[in-house]
Amino acid sequence: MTLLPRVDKRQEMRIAGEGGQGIILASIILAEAALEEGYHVVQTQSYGPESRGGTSRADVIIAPAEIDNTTVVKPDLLLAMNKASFRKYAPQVRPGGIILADQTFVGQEEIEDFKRSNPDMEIYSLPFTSLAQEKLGTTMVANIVALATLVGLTRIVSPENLRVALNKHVPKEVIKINLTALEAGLRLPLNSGTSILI
Amino acid sequence: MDKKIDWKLMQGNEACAAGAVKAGMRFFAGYPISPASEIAHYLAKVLPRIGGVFIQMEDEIASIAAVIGASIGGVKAMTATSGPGFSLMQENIGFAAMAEVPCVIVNVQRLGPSTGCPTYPAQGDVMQARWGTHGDHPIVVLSPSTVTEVYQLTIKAFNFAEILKTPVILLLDEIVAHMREGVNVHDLENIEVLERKPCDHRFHITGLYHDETGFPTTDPRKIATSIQGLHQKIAACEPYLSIGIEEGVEEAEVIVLAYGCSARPATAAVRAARSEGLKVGLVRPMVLWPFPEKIIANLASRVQAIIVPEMNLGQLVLEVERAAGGKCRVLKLSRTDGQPFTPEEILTAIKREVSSCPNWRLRPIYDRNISRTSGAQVAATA
Repeated sequence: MTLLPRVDKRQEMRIAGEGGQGIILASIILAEAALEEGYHVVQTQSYGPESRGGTSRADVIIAPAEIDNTTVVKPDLLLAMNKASFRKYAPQVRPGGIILADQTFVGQEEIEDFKRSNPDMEIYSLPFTSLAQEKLGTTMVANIVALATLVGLTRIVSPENLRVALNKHVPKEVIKINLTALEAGLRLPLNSGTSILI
Repeated sequence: MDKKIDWKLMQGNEACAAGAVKAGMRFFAGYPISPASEIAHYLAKVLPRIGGVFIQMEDEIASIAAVIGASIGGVKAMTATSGPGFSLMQENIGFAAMAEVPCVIVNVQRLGPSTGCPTYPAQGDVMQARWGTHGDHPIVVLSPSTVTEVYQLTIKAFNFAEILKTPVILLLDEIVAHMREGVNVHDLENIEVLERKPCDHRFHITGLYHDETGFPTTDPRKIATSIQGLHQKIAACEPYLSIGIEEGVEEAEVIVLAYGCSARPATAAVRAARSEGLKVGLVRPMVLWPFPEKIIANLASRVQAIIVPEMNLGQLVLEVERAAGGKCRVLKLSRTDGQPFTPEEILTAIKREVSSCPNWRLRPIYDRNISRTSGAQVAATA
């Protein structure tokens, strides 16, 4: 399990998947949590004209000082929530970077193939969406399970600040299930042990 | 970072809407369009609560017409749109310029022409913002690069509109508008807001040439005075309109001039170049029109080259060339694929320029072969 040190230089995180998976919301919550943590943050997004379907990508830049450049070229970390975004963005992650892939949609074989040609990358494969369906009865909170797992693995922000950020950006009516998803995500790396590391 | 309680995560469009409310805007009419819709979302929630009016009109032509009407009625008014809607608004923007109606039009640029790519960024409306409506009209166009600047310049846009009695265009782009940033709340406070002066007399308004009574005239002398007056009121305020940021310009040999979303990677590239010891400076105008002509002319006589990165095929660079008047080399850097500039590509351009040959004046401007090519051949290649 990788613990990122206290952010002392610019960190570029990319969250990508399909429109409707809550990619942009997850990135906003991450950005808010990083701001709570006391960092400078910039969150940008790129998506198609569709409100569901199509690819959706969001970048969060976290830095200890003012952020001049807002363009992400080689992310330090990628959270890929579907196959298309894994294929498109995994090769762009900087050497030695971290990738989290949703096993529900990205085949284990494909991830292992990628790992063989990029041995220096740290890749985790976890079933975010199927876990959300099984444990919480809806795939709607898969984004929060995944985001919390990312935070649990890297501790780029504290779980406490992640909860604060979630409360700010999720409507009251659904906050309970989202908080449950958050806790499930935080525990996920611990429960799965090292077996998730490809 | 200082005490975190002073920081707030804010989106560009949200900052624009909040800035407008802060500036005293109490009437918004608009029609939803990506990537400007969040401005309407915010104002639909907020304006009714504070005694303002939000109307979703049937289209953009009606939106700008309603805004002009509200402003004439004595309320600070605004609309927000993107390329296709901005095109529809042009006729009435000309009316507002001619009838001297203060109002703010936000154009969140997206990739065009036409419907183009609704959610992709571009800076292709720089010339449209200046010359979109017909006739020799004056216009003021502002271009922010950060979320904080969006808030500050929105308030300034209203101030300029009130002082100059003219439409002001706030030219955003998809990146600046959709981006969320940590904003220092103190930067949003204590910004001067100019109030609308109450009007106690009745007056006539027309888009026709008119004299001081407000009624139409065809007197050539009055026409000449009228159009010159429209331009002189803006020229008179030039020092007030000269806002922008410069960095390392004093000792620079090469300047990067950038605005809007392209200014962020440009800033990173200039800082990287300076850390390598290169004599490079950054100029970031926040008022694009009236174009900061004198500033650029001065600059051109001191430096070797000005590089202009823009997310279009070269628009503001033409103005830079004109103002530079051949005194330095002017280079355009284009990006029209809907993807933002990377600092690396701007840095590469800087390095190429720093080491370029001094005989640039000898390069041919036109390809001579073109005169020998027949129309049919051109059609065949196309």
